[in-house]
Order: sequence, then structure tokens, then C-alpha cells
Amino acid sequence: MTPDRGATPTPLLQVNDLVKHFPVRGRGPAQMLRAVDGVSFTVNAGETVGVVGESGCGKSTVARLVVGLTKPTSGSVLVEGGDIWARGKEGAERRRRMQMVFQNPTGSMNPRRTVGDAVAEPLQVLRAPGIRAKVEETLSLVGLKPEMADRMPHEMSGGQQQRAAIARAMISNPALVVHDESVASLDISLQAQILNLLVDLQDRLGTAYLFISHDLAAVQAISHRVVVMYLGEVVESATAVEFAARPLHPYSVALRRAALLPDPEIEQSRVEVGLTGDVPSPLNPPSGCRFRTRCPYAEQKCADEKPALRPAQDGHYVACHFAGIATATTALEGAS
Amino acid sequence: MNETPATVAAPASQTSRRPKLASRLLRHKSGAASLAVILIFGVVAALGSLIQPFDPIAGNVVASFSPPSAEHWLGTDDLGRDVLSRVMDGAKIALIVATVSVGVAAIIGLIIGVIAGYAGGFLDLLITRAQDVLFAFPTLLLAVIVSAVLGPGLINASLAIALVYIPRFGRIARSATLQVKHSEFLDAARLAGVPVVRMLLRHVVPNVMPSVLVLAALSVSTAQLAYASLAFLGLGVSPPQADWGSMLSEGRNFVTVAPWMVIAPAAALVLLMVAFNVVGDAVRDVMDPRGEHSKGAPIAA
Repeated sequence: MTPDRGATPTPLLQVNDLVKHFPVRGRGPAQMLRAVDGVSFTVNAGETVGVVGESGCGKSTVARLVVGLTKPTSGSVLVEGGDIWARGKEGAERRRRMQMVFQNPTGSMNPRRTVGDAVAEPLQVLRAPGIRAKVEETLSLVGLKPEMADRMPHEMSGGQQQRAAIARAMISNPALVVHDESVASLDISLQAQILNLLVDLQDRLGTAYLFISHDLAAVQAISHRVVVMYLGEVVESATAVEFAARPLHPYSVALRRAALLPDPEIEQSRVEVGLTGDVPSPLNPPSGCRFRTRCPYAEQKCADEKPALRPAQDGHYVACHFAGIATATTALEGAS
Repeated sequence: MNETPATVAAPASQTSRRPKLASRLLRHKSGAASLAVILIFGVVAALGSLIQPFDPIAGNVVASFSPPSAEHWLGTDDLGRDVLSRVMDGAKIALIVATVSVGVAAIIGLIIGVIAGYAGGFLDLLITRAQDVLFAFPTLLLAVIVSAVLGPGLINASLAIALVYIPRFGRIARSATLQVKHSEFLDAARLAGVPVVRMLLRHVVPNVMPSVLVLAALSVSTAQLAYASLAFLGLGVSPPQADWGSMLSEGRNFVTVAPWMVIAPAAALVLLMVAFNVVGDAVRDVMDPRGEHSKGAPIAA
């Protein structure tokens, strides 16, 4: 398989105005938890799109919606222009073109079956011949020994388990692999190894990634484009280079400031994060701009009027009335 | 790869598939011992009249109430029947009851428990509530009612016990199913496009089996006791056939003159119950996939 970036005019994955509300039952009137509230983005073939945001901003729900583990309340997920929830074989076929790597490597393998059985599963469903050889080939591709197919998951280290999980996701040649915090549970040196492996696999196989993480550094290291989510909405979307240079949304700037810096001297003089309080409840999100309750630059307009996601630059979208008011460079200028 | 895990050096025997449940059970000390006890009962039951010193049914009124002697090792009962032969004959009944009642209950309970747990919603509610109704009755009372309706007899009594035991298997299977229902490996299987039935058989049932097996092994002893109670009340096998419960029932009347009539079947019952209980514990020890670590097997982590 060769990478065919930009070969097709329709993007590989189109997410259109995706909404997922969960009914919350309890005392009092029924409430709706607005986990994902109108999210749109696209992923091109062979490209990596990173999604960042705090815990509880709806990242994982987006991941499950994209691969079709959860049905959206409204909105659509299109693979090469076709809805993944289309009736019959077509929809199932589109869903199978997307695979997922989960956060917890231990939990993503059946503890009573061998690693090889787990990796082989997507092929068994397709009744493909030569499964064993393909399993061993894929295991070596992700840097595991082929003999490890006979291991039980608990006989492997966390890093090996995550490599095996990647092998399972990659074995059926998916067009897109969703990584939901797939490196978050690994220690930092292993994270780097796995990220390198992912880049390497992408170069070889041309697989697109949707890389979901709370770790801005990991996302920037691997992504071509970055999408920032806050409380179920997209607040900013830009190319990784552009985002690194000029984040426009105050929330993105705060996220950048919260990231640890590798140089200890600069790190010590890092400007305070500037974000206080918790993410508001998605049961009852703030009016207007959802970030206004924690935004140091919020004004009356932010409460009255919801900022739309509008283009600020070519390929750079931001949902803020005062985009660019805070700059990441101020954080770094203070240091230098 | 830069990872240099110690596991690479694990011996070949560790990389092959784990040995089957039975062979691991045999390596478990108390498990093997109690399996041996059950096996002895099984052999005695299977050989039947070949090894019984006397006909367990034929009476000899002249020899009634004879205490244990060289001829009658465990004495004779009120009709002069050899107690040892009758205890040996009763083993057959005890083992049939154990397998039929617990087997039927475990299979049905497993099926409805997994379906209820996996399907959720209204079906789950329906199955769970139906089981609660069954559960609300005292075990023995319900078994007595059911076997009174079905009529006396070995199979009917076993089925009555099975019916009473279904809810406990259903519950444990349902809760074990709920534990794996939202696990990531099921999500991964769904993404791979595995059909629901195969997913249940391959991913859910194997993870539910350990709890069901342990409960089954532990339930055998109480099922045994429940059957003995039914037999005591005359709802078991019909009279001439020896069985431990009815032997206890008859012997009760003569406990002061011929205590051996009670002691022998009671001892057999207790021994078999304890053996099944210990096997149950051993199954639980052995079924844990990570169990070999705790036993100090040379697997590098």
C-alpha cells in the first residue's frame, strides 16, 4: 500500500456537526449531558489530526463516535463521503475501515486469549487465508517478536501490550486508526518509542490517524493538524506548525502554558497557567462562549453571543470574539 | 526495538499455551486429593454390584440390627440389609443428583445470565425480576413444592433442585458479564466486526466461566444436601433403592439401638460434600489467568 495523500478530493473522514447527548436520570427532571455538541472536522488520507482538551471535554466520546462504537444523537460521520451508519453491508464496511487503539493496554486484550488470537481477530472475521503468517508479519512490523503471538497478555509489559494493540488495529489495513489516549498510560521514554513507531508505520502504510490526547506535547509531536476541544465543542483548529507558532484562542494559549518545558531554566520561569477552576458541567454549559467562565479576557459579549468557528487565517479556525488577545509568545518572552 | 524485556528469555514451555484446566487442577494439592475422593465414590458407584459385599436390597430379618462385625462391616439395618452395600449403592444416586441438578442449573443460569447482562434494558429487567421471585422462596421449600408437583423420583427431584438453583447461577453470570461488557477488548472485537453470538461465546463466556464453575463446584454439596432432604421427606427414589437421605430418614427411628444406620450414610454424605467444596476452592485458585505468577512460576514481568 502506498500513501496517496491528497489523491482524492473528498477527505477520508468527514465529521459533520456531530452531537452526542446522554440522558442522565436521577432525582428531579431528566437532564441531558452534552458530551459532544456540534463538532466538525476532517481527516485526509495519510494525515494525522490531533485532538487536545482537558478531561471531560468529550474527546473520548468523539473517538467512539468516529469509529462507530456509539451512535450520534445527530450529525454524521462520513468515510470517503459515505455515512458509516448507512444500512446494511455498506455501513459495516465503512466502519471496518477504521480501527482504534485504546488507552489501557491491559484492558484492551481478552486476558484469557493469546496475543496472537487478539491480533488475528479482524482477519478471522474477513475469513482471510494465511492468518498466522500475517499475524507474525504484523507483530514484527510493530517491533514485537513473532513468537509473542503465543503469549498471554499478562505475560507482556505495558509497552509490548500497546504494540500488540497497534498490531491488531493495523492488521486489516485500515484507512484510519483512532488513538484514544493510546500513549497516556506509558512512561515517557516508551511514549516516545510508540510515537516514533506510529510515524514510521504511517510512512510505510499511509494510514491516517486521529490522535486524541490531553498531552499537547505528544499531539504536536505527531500531528499534521491540531483540533482543540473545550466542553464538547471545537474552539480552535490549525495546522500543527501554525498552532505551535500562533495559537489564537485563549484556551489554547492556556494549554500551551500548562505544558512543561524541557529546559529546566526556562521551565522555572514559566508564566503561571492563568486558568482557574474546573471545567463547567456539561449538564448545564455556560451561555454564549463556553470558555467564558474561566477566560481572563471574557466580556459581556462572550456571555450574550456564542462565537462561531470562523477562519482567522488560511486553514486556521478559531471560535473566539477576541481571537489572538492572548499569545503564547508572551509566555515564552517572559522566560527569555 | 529498544525495549529489552526480560520476557524474551522466558523458556519455551512458558510461551506455549497454558495447560488445560484439568491438568492444572491435578497439580493443586487439595484439589487433587478431593478429586481422588470423588473419583473413589465414582468408581464405587460405577462398579455397583460387582464390589458390593451383599445385595443392597435383599433383607435378612434374622440378621436385623446386627452391629458392625467382620461379616457386615457397617452393620445391618432394621430389615437386615447390609449397610455398607446400601451406602455404596447410594453413591450412584448421590452422583447422579450432583451432576444433573447442578449441571442443568449452571447451563441454564449461564445462558440467561449472559443474555440478561449483555442485552440489558427491558430483557435484563424481566429476567432479573423473574429470578428474584424464585430467589425469594426458601430453597428447600421451593424444591419440595416443585418435586411434589413433578412427582417423586430421582430425575424429578434433581430437576426441582436445578430449578431452585438457576437464579444463583443466573445472577453470578449476569454480574460477571456486566464486568466485561464495557471492557475495551469487547470494543476492539466489535470494531473487528465479530458477530454478537461469536463475541459472547469467545469473549464473554470464557470470562464468566470461572465464577460459574466455582459456584457449580460449591453448589454440588448443597444440592446433595437438598436432595438428601427431599429423599428424607420421601420425594426421592422409591423405597427399596438405597439412597443416603432415605437411609438417614429410616435410621433416625432406631438411632438409639442401631446408631450405625445413621452414622454410615451421614459420613458418606459429609465426605462427598467436603470433597466437592474443596474442589470448588481449587477450581477458583486454578482458573485465575494470573494465578501462575503468585505460585512463583518463572515468568518475568
